[in-house]
Amino acid sequence: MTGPSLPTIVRAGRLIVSVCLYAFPARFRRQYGADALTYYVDRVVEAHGRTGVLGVLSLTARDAVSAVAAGLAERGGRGSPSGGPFCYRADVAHGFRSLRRHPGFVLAAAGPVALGVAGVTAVFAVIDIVLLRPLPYPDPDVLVEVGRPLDNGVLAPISTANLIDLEEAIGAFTEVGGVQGGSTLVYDDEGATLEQITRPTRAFMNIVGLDPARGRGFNASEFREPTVAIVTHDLWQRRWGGVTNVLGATLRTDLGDLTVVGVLPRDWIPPEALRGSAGDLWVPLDYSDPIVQRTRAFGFSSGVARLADPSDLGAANEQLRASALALAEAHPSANTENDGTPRMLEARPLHAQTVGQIGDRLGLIFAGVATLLLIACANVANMFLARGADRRREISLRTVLGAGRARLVVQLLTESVVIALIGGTVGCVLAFLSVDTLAAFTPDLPRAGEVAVDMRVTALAAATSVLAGLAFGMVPAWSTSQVDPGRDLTLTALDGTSGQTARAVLVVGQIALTVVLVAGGALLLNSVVRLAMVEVGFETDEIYVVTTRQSPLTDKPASTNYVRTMGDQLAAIPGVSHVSGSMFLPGEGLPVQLEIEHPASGEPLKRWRHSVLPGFFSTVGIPLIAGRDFDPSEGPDDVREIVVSESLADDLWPGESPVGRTLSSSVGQGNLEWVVIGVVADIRNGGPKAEIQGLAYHSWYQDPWMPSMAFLFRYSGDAAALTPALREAAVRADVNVPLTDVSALADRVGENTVEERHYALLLSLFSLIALGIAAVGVYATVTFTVSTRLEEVGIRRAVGAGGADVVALVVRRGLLQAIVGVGLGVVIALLASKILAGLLFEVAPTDPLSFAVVATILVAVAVAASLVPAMRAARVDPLMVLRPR
Amino acid sequence: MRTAEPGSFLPLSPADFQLLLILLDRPRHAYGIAGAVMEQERARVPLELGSLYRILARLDRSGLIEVDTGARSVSAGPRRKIYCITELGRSVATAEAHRLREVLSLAEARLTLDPA
Repeated sequence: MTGPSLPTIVRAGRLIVSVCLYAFPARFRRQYGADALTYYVDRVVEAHGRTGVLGVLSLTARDAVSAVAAGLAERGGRGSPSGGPFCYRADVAHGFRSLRRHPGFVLAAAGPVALGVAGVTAVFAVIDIVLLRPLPYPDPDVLVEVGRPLDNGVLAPISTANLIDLEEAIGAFTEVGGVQGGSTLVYDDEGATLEQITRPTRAFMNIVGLDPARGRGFNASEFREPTVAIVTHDLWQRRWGGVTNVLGATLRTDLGDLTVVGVLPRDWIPPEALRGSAGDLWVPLDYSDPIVQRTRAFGFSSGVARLADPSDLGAANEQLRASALALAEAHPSANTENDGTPRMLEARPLHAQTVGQIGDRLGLIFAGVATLLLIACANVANMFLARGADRRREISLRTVLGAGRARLVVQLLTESVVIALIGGTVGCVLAFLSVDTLAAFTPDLPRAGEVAVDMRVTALAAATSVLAGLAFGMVPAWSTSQVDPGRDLTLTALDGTSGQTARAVLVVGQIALTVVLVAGGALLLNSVVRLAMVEVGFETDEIYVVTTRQSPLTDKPASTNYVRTMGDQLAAIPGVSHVSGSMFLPGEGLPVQLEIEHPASGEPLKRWRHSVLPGFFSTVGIPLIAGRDFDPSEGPDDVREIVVSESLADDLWPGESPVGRTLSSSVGQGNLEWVVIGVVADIRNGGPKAEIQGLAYHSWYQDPWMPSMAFLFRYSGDAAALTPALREAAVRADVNVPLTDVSALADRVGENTVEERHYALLLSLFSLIALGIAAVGVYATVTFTVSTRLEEVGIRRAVGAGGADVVALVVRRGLLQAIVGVGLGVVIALLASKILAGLLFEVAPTDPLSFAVVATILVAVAVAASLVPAMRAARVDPLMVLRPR
Repeated sequence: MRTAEPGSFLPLSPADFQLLLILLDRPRHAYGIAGAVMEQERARVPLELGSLYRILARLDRSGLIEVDTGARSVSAGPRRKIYCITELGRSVATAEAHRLREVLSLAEARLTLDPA
């Protein structure tokens, strides 16, 4: 928890008080405004010294309220400034007493404010860390990420060999480095576990200012055939239970035996831009490893650098461009794009890379919660107006007894600030409880682990509450304090006209804002429904995935043997059928392309290749249209077989049957001939949002080159019993091949649309709350209006109007407000819905159907909320109402 | 300078009277006034901004106090206004004190006559 500094507090408080001073006439402000602010600042310093931030908050709240009250009284030109300067405590006490007598009122008013403040606070806590705070590394402004710019705007990783070459070309940078990601198995007596590893370059730890909390960093000599490792705090706790003598411990890994020489600090968080390469086991990058040079074409490393001059990113990029051209000339095959142009390099500020697109998304949620808070505040104002009309006699009596208007305004304002503070306090607690969940469930949120509700965020919540209380307490306080004792104390019936326009405006505003939220929710829900209805071309129900990871040192026959054994073990589990597997899951996209020659034109083509086990198509329900599936007994020495998807078949052999034809391809190993043995239906391999692409499937047994395998199987039994059975099966197949993931295929495929579903859920939640508040608002105003028009209703009934006429009379009022509010809301929503465009799938931000549904819902809610008081009015007995006359 | 009769300002509100008394010793800025009020009242909560400035503005408008454009105390800093009592303010405060004394003696007389 870090508290805000005194200057920050003073600035924030000054802002609040100077806004409140606008309650005074302009001449008064010109004469005393600056002096009054100085007076405030003098006491802030004193209050901060005495009672800290709480004292400052209390002082600010008191000065804000008193400035507004005195300002209004000054404008009104009457009364002394309250009955004396020291009555504030009395006002607060009176406010609490008066509110304590109406707990239902407090709940209905403060509840929505609490939700609004909780939302604003929690989202601000996230925004504060993610967007506003500098990255937690020394001189974060000079840090840049170095990568390969792609057409879609992404900065892709670069090859380790290129990164090493860049290390030497400094110039515009003070240091260049990076990390290569990867994984290794770690062996002990009980078997093997998989650990993600980070391979830093020599300069990396220096660039991000990282020193181990225990032990030492890497020596320059350890970047050749490394035998040492540094572990994260987490791995230290996980593997060694945090024992002190971890230094010197040995880890048996695929990289050989490694001696632990250091432990990273507990709170160190790797740069988010390197998220893919950040593991728990740090091993120096092996500069002498021949694989580094052989994999120059593959982006395995994330580059990070420090600029020599933070203001001159242009010079840095100029230099990187020259380096990229030099690399393309020295290693053309690895550094040339498909279209023959050299692969480029680019540096971008690390902070911007970390924040990425999340700024827009957070802006969207913030707009949502802020709207919710506005609706809640309008609701409070509305309730106070209605209550004020109820209290006219009390106020009149107090006026007669000598209370000045300023005193009354302060009193009434105090009540709404008390409501706002109750709401704000509860909201702050709710935010504190919910912020971790919000951070954890927001997809792709950078720096999620740092998010917390701290003093800075709490101060914002408090300021928001006070301002909300003042802003929305002003109208009812002013209107309610405007009494005419002569009239108000003699009239028997309530006067319904006072504050009626203000109430109608507030309800219309509430409905309009609700429309905006509900429209957003409806558009996103519509989009999510459409996404769910997309046919991906394969089944996911009752299909499970279990991923295993072999050591990369395993030879191909042993690896094949393991996969067959594991398949048999899985098939032996009761309830399991259709066991198969693939290197990459359907619906998750593919990383590898097959370079083939067009059979007719001979022109080279690249198509995605899918390495699967026999039985894959029947397991995930992809229909076989022609030919046959792969034969499990065929291995690398047999004729290479391939199954093509329907669209690839149409592409290569339009109108002809491809079965039995051959395809030539150049894979890493040289030219290969493939015989087409089957055609299967198309699938959306990139998930529901992706286009259908032509796919070439081949049998993993014919090319067993990756250590990781995702076994797929159908299972209809008890899901809870599955995981233990899978663990046993894995141990029986090979104790040194760990399970790395067990999940339902539906969940894995669902991750493609998690962002859409998340925001749809959030906005729907906001919409429901907003609808509830708006319904209460309409209900309260209509009920109040009815109570003030009972005499009119009685007279109408007496002269022969039926119950239906009365209902229509009352509902008409609610309906009118709803229609005006909906009209206004639709206009605002149409203007605002553009910010949703990136999240919508096959739904226009102006989708007429969604808007029609929203308008209907809002009108229906308003009518329903009016019906209750209307029915009550219809049952009015004219005699009872008119008798007092 | 106003030529108003001090008696026309009476009775003063307790807050106005207290503020005039505080300025009798010496000119002060707003923070100094608040400090003196707190000391006299043994209050822990300082004068609220809105109340204080309405009183200051009203006394200023009536000519009972004025902003001393010449004086600038060392600790005052550049933007603090120094408020001081005018001759009229002094006379009004004196008149109010006389009035209060009369009220007090009246009260004492009655309380003595009718101890119940």
